Amino acid sequence: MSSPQLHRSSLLSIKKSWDSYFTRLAFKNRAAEWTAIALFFSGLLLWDVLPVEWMIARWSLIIHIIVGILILPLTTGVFWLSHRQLMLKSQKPRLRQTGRALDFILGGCFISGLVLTFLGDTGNLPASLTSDAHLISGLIMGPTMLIHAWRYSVLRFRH
Amino acid sequence: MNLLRPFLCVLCVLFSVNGQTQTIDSPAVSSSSLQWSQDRHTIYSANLWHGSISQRAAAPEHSQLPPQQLSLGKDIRRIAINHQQQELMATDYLNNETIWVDLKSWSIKQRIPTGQRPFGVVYQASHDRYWVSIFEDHQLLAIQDGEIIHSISTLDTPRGLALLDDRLFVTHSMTGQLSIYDVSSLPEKPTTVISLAEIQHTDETVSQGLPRLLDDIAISPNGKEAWLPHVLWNFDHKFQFQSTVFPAVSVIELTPGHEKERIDHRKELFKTINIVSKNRTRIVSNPADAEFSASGKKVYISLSGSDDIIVFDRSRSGKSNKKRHRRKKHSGGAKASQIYRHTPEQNPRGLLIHGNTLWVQQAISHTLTTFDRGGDNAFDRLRLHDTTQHLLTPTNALSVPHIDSIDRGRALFHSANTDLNPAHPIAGDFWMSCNSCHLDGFNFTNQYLLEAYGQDKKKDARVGHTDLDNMISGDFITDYLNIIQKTQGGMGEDDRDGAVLISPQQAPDEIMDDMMDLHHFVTLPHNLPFVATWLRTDEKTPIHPKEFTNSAQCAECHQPIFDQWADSNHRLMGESNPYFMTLLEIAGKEEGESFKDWCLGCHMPNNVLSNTPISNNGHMFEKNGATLKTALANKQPDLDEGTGCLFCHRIMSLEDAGGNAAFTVNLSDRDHYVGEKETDSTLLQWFASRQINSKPGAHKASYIKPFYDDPTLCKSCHNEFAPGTGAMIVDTFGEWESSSYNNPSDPAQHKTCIDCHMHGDIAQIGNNIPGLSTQRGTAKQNVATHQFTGANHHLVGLRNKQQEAMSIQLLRSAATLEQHVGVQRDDSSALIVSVKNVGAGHSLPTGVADFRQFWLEVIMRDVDGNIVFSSGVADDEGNLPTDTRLFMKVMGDTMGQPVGLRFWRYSQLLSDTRIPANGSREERFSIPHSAQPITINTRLLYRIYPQWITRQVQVNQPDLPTPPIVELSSITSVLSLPATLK
Repeated sequence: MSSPQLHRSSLLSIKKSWDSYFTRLAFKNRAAEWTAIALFFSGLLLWDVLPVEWMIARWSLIIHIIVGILILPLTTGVFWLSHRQLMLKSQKPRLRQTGRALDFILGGCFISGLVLTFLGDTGNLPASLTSDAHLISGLIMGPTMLIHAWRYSVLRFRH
Repeated sequence: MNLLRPFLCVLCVLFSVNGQTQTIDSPAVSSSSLQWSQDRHTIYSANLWHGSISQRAAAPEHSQLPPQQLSLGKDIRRIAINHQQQELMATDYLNNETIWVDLKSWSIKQRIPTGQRPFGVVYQASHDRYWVSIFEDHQLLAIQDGEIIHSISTLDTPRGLALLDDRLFVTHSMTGQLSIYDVSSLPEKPTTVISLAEIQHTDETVSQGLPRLLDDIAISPNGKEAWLPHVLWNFDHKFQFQSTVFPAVSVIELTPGHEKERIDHRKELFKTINIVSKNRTRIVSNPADAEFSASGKKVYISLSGSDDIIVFDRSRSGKSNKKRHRRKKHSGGAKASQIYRHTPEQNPRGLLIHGNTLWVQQAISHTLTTFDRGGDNAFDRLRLHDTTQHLLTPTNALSVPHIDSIDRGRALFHSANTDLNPAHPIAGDFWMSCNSCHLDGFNFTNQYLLEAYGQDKKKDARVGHTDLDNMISGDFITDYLNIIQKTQGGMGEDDRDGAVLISPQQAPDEIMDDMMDLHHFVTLPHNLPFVATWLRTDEKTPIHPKEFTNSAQCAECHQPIFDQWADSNHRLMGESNPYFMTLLEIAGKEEGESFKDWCLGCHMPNNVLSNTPISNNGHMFEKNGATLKTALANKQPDLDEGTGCLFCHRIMSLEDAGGNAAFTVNLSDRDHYVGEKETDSTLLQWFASRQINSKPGAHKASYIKPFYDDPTLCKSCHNEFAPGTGAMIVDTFGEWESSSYNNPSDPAQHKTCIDCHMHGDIAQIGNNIPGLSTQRGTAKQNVATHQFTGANHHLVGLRNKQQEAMSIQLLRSAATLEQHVGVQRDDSSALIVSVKNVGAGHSLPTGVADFRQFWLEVIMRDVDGNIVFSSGVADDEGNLPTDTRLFMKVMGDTMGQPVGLRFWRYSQLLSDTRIPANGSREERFSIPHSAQPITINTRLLYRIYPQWITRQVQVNQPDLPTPPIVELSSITSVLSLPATLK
């Protein structure tokens, strides 16, 4: 086997391995879901209507930010990328519909979170709308995710 | 003998030896530091500054009850117990909370935050709720099941409380009033306010003055009378021994709907009690608490200054035999029958009576002493029982609770007992203690001392202590001794009882030790930790410089506000203000280094709090906060000067003592974000900023207090009184308070400090200026800008021309000028110039009104242009003629000479030609005979400092530009005088 052929073959092999890994990733929801759950509850503790002590809220806030900007892209983000194809090809309308809704909710929540982190909830109208969008999308995301894939959820505690 | 028997029986009934035989259960409850259990087996005590409560058996036969003590907080003043005997409510005066205690488990059920200085507490059984008086915040709170269910705004300084048939009685300690509320249902119905009589005599040594320091209320068993112990302040003349403070007890008639003071029943305790000792009428001081015997025939009053108990016999109360009393004051039939001199321990306060036993709480030693009352017969005498029990549980190491230097200092502060140290007494002839004026130490009640001043300022502007060597600074011991001698007659000043007059400058060692103890008490964190200034912090001092967040960091989100402040006089008012530095140096040299804190408390408070020496590295010309930005970039702490973002926005409470930086700052105890304090770590700081950005609520709440728009906050530094003497040097707040601008009922008229001095457009004062205080923040209807535009245009102009222009614009908007010709008494003609204060809500000038130059320049020219008259024209060197018509305040020293730069030595007002708010002044100038018409050019001019001061300052700071003379207004008239005028 010539050297270019060998090179091509190894590239194909890597691609195949990657495709295989990526396909398998679409079914590995645990890290992604735990991340989303962590964000959901740490975010919930930051909701002004809940009388949470600042000593708890301050840690909740830093966890929410770190998980949101560092861990979420590496877990939920990658899972979402691989999982999207699966969802689009799904024969089940409910999965397709809730999945598509989650696309928007997750995207909206992530982007509004980034805006709040880097530009701030400064109090003007755009910032207030962003804050509201982040809260609402966060609140909706939890139930939607459970509707979408309760069967596979880490919260089912299957033995 | 048989014939005498009926007569003897009648006598026995009349003079019943056992007070219990006529017991009437009192329906009234009063706030007190001592309370009973329902069965009278247990006594509960509020252990005041020890911060605890105790439970003690009332008698040996109840000794199965173990003595208990529970630490609750800092300063537990009063307690109340519910009728089921299951719970107790205590007020913690210094922690600003009430504490709900479960008596069965002897543990804290709940802490209930309140306003400033909760004091009195009573339990209203009919509604199962407690009433609490909030002394400094002027409130009453109703607390039920651990919740504040109702709040009432009251007159000033509610303190003592009592309840009788759902009528709530409230003493107003510093205004001499008694409020009565009907609290049978909520909301309450205010019934009446009784202002205790303020009596004056021409003879200053007769008991008279303003009723003050009202505290607890004693209600007679039949509910017809209330007795209010208090003192009288008579500050309408110089402080003189036994002529300015008098003890008294006022008597209130409590007939529902007809409550009133029985002025003729008032018990004047000063030199009016016919109990003579050493050929002199006995003097007593500081009546604290009163308690009726069960029959109501005897009243016992603790005298916390002279350490006595005075006993009043009321057996003839209510009998107004006109014949018998026609030549004497009736006094309600109550006569002092005994002065028990002295209680075994110091500072008797709370009292309790059961049967023939009287318990007295002695505050300094935290002990409970038992007395045998004898009975209610007029001839029964109070005798000391042989039991005194400690209210505090001794520690393992000590058989009795430890008394430290602070306690000894506290004892001196509260004592007027001449017998405690006959050779070197703290007060002469048991007259008064420091606490007779400085209630509970040094706090907001100081403002009432200043208000009680009633002398002619031209004779004596000093409210308090005179003859101070160095304003209680540097060698403070000398001045403490000066005060004790000159104010209280102590330390041998009154030597009638064998006291030895000591020299304040050469006090014996034992006296020096006593004064050190006193100093330790005076410098407690809630008193005057820095002595000369009233600035306080409730943090541990010194505060590390790293705790002071660099204001440049705030610019990350609040850039416009930072930019306004960075060049303002609220920032560069310390090392960068050469005038200030010159005066500071003089103050330190004249009075001692520690006196500088009086100035630094407002000008460089961060240095005071962090105990950082000041330097000479000012930056008078610095623009845009350059040094702050550099320090931030280099991660170096920078205390900077003046009042920065963190300092002002971390003022946590105001103590309106009348000025002198009377507020408490706390930098640290705020809601920090994770990493916010790690100023050395760029990464953690970045994360902290992201957190603040994304959830700024906690950040905002940490830096905003409701009183930030209250002019009292500005008063804290823009009112200034001399330490010790209390002479009011600057009273900008008082000038505003009495002006038409202080009109809260008419929002269109009402203007406070921030409406003019924190306004972004001087021409638009009165209108809102919309804008942002945070980048991309909430659009506010009106933004309080942070230039702090004021009269000092010169220094601000060295770095910011826009702010200088705003200052001058503000000055020009303050006054108008008019002139006309009038006729004088000798028929000669005169130019009458009228200057009206049309824009300033205070006098013109205010602040350092002894330095500001605000004057009229008048030049008259004849028809040929020759000057025929001039006034107020500065010479080539900038000096003004001596006859210049200046609008200013001239303060004099004790010798009647102008104080000049040593303004803290102000003792008498020499002149005050300032123009009050809404007022005007007319100045007359003779018009000479000249070729007419005469052209008169009149100008209203202003200069920030006189030339002679600038010259002195320029010796130290040669690059200080000379302040210009600014024309505020001018008017030119051409006059032809009528021939009839001379």
